[in-house]
Amino acid sequence: MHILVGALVLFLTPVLFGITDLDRFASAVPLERFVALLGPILLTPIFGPEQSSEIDDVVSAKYIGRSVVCAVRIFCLTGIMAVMILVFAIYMRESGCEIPPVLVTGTIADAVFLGSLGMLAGAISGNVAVAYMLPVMYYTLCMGMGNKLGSFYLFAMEEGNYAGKPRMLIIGILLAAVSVWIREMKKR
Amino acid sequence: MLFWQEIKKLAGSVVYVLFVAVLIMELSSQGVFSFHDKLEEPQPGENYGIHNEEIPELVMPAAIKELFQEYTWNQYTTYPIGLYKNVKLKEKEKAQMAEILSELTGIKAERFSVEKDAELQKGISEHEIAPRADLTYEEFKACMERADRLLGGGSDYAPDALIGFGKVPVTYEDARVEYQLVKDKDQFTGGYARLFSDYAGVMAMAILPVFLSVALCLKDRRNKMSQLVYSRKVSSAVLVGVRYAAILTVVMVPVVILAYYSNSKVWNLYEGMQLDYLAPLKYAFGWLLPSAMVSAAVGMFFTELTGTPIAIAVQCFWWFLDLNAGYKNISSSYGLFRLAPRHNAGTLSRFRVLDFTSNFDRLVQNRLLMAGLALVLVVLTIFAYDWKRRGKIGERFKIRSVFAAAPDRKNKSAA
Repeated sequence: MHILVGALVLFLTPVLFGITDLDRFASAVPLERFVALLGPILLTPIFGPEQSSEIDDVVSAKYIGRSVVCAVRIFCLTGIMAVMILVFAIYMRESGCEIPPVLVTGTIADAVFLGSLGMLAGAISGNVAVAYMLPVMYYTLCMGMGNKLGSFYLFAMEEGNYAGKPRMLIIGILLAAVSVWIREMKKR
Repeated sequence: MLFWQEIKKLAGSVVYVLFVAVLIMELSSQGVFSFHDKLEEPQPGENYGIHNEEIPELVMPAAIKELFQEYTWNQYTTYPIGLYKNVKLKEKEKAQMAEILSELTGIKAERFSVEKDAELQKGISEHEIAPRADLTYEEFKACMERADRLLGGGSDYAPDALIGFGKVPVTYEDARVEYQLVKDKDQFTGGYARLFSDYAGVMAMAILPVFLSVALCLKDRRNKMSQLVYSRKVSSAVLVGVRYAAILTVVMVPVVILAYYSNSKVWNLYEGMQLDYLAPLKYAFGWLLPSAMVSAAVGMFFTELTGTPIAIAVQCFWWFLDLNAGYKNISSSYGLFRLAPRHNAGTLSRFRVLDFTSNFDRLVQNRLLMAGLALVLVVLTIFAYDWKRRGKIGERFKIRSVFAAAPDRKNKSAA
């Protein structure tokens, strides 16, 4: 279901934004403002299945640990998300847009960061509304505060600034790991 | 009793704590808690800013120059559904645009139709790009409308956007009229309350209440209490109505407090003046409440209907489109279907009070429409909830009656 919603986002992007013959700054707009939303869509509900106590009991009873199951799930969905972003970036390039590799990796970093915020909020609260609220809140904060957020400004690539993206990716991965750990601790 | 129970449930939840924290953070990032600019009475000889007027002698040359410039680079900026779109014309469309430019300037179309941009710039000098001597404003508007259609709509050449090319300085007399309006009608505090509402509407009220209603509606399901609640005597209308009222109450309490906190920062700037101390309250309920109503109603309706948090995606998408629709005309936007109307103007532009008063009727229509839409969604939520209680639709919107009731009827008639 979430992958379908993610695909819908990609199909809607060319309708909402023009993606023909854009320079690298203009190309960053649809990628950072819309395509990066794949992160919260795909990664935030990662702990969703275990919210049902029946499924949680089944997963807990298995030989493979719950954390391993979640880690594999995160790994697979991040991979799917990266492929979706890559395919869309290739489509943009075919439409005459200037897409340097850093735009693709930067968008993946944005998506992982936003998704990991949702995972963290979901792991702490166990509440799906809170889980989605945190990335949305961060997104609106970026719109309001602009580049005052420094390295963690989501839409920095529109201004030609790529320096903060590796940091966002690393923090995103760390937050995802912390979320799995919190989830495990809460279950013990 | 039920109302207070729901209030307690909401006010003590993590999602509400986060809601208040986000509200404060979002608003403080926009500087609404540190208003310190005083609106001074205009004095002769000052610069009073610029405003737009549709004066043909100003609009025509400016628009034609802009169109030629975009034609030269074959890069046109448009906002067809509000969002920024870069349009590049194909050869056939480019030739049509050259025809339009030719009609506007009197320069032969062939002179525009050259292969390379550099040649084009060399071939036609800047001062040649001017309206044809006998061009009437009606002809000009018709040409611009064709150009806009060629670009897919939403360009600066659309008939209603042409006014943007007519920039004229505000006169001392105009500035005085605006000041007087702020003094008499807004009584100063109204202008600041409007600015607060502009930010609070777009950054918070149009989006955040959906999280509260989704969390509240999913709570029964998560706690496996749905069946217990369904079996209670209280009617679906009362249950849904009370929950909705509880959500709006907990949403509006911090908004009103913050609106007063923000507004009180300027009270001491206008000592001795007549101030409207009810302005924050009027704007909170007149401007912000309908946005909160819609956002909360979307959350309740889709959550009760599907049993999933899909309402968050629906509301986020609507909010995203609405937010970006404001980019082209951010300073004053009162479209009928705006989720959060925009009026981003402070003391420097005298709160653009003339724009506000001339658009006031549209604002009222918009707010009534949003409140009405919210109430329709609440009624639909009552039906959805009632159907669930009666088992007509399942927890995740499985219409059992459609597939299960048909054989029953068959059996009954056979019997």
